[in-house]
Amino acid sequence: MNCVQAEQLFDAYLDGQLGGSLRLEFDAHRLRCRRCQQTLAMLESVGTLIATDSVHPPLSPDFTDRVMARIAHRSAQRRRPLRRLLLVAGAVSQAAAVLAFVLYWLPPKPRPAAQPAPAAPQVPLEYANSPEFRAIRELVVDRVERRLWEMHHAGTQLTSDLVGLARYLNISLPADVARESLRMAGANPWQALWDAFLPRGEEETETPPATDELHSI
Amino acid sequence: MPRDEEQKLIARARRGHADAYRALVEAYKDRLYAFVSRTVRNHHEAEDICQAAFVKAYESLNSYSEEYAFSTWLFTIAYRLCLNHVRKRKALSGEVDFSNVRRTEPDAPQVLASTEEVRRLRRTIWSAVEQLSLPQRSAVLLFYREGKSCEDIGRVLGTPTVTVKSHLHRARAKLRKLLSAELVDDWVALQALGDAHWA
Repeated sequence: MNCVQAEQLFDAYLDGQLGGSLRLEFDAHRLRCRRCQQTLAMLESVGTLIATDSVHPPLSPDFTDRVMARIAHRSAQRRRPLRRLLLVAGAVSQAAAVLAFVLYWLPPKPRPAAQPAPAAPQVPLEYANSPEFRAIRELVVDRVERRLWEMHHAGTQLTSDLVGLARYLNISLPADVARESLRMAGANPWQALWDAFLPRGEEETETPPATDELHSI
Repeated sequence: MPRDEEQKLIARARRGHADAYRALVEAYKDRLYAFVSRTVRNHHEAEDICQAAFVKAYESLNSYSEEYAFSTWLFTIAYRLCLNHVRKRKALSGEVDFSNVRRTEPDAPQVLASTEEVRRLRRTIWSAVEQLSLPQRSAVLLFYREGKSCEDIGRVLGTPTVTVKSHLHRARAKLRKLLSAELVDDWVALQALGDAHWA
């Protein structure tokens, strides 16, 4: 081992991590090389001095007291806002309790008596049986019926126009659409009202139309 | 201080027992002060940093993990405070020339060296140590003075173990270079003399 090789092992030697045959070789070189001896002695002296030398001036004698006083002071400072918050919260909760107590024991206010609901207007019996009232009723029913027939005729006309238009344009319609359109065109509007307000006796089951049912009207 | 006793004190300090934390401060204050004082190289600033480190450690006791030694955790806090302090000082004074920092220890009566040569050598060595960079100096102090492993030093400095080894290697190389200029006739003989007197 030469000096260059030994110098590469200085750190491991000083850290106490050099062992085995490498340590034996290193020690053998160290014994016969004065330069490496000097360098290692210097570095070991530095380590010894750093490890053992005292620091001057020493720490103040009241250092610990000052540390503890500062800790106590900071702890008190930290607690102060919390304490203030707790005091305020306590005062508010006490005031709320007093208010609730007072409200609970106060006599309730007398409530105004409930007003009777206004009676529904009723047609006097003698007027309902009068010929004038019957005439007015028949007139109203007649007008409603006429209006419904007008709507029915307009729907029939529109349906037949649409069917005619589809035929003219040679548009294919599903069979159920065509059937339903024709049924609606010839339906009695009174029957439709009747069906809408009264439940059916038998529910007709409708099957979805198959694609092969498409045909031209 | 034995580890189990230290853990008991920490547990009591966490529950708010001031006397337990006082015992911890008493146990570690000199070691911490030695480290900080050599790091920032000013007695008054070192005391302030130590005080701040102990207060911060007390306020952060709940975050301390028993996995590591209390001293390692404490030194980590102190080292970060030192870094902040040195950065502030740099910002205030621009380029810092540490060679002009007043040295306080050489003429104190407690100097252990008995011969003039050892005293001179002692001054020379500390002067060389002070010329190391902050991480290198901290690594050297923690390694030699505190006997910390490279892993623990890495935790204190916040760097990987490999970086710590690199710091130590570079620090030794620099010390060799600086101290070779102050050539002593016989380091080996001086080492024997120094060990007897410095111890």
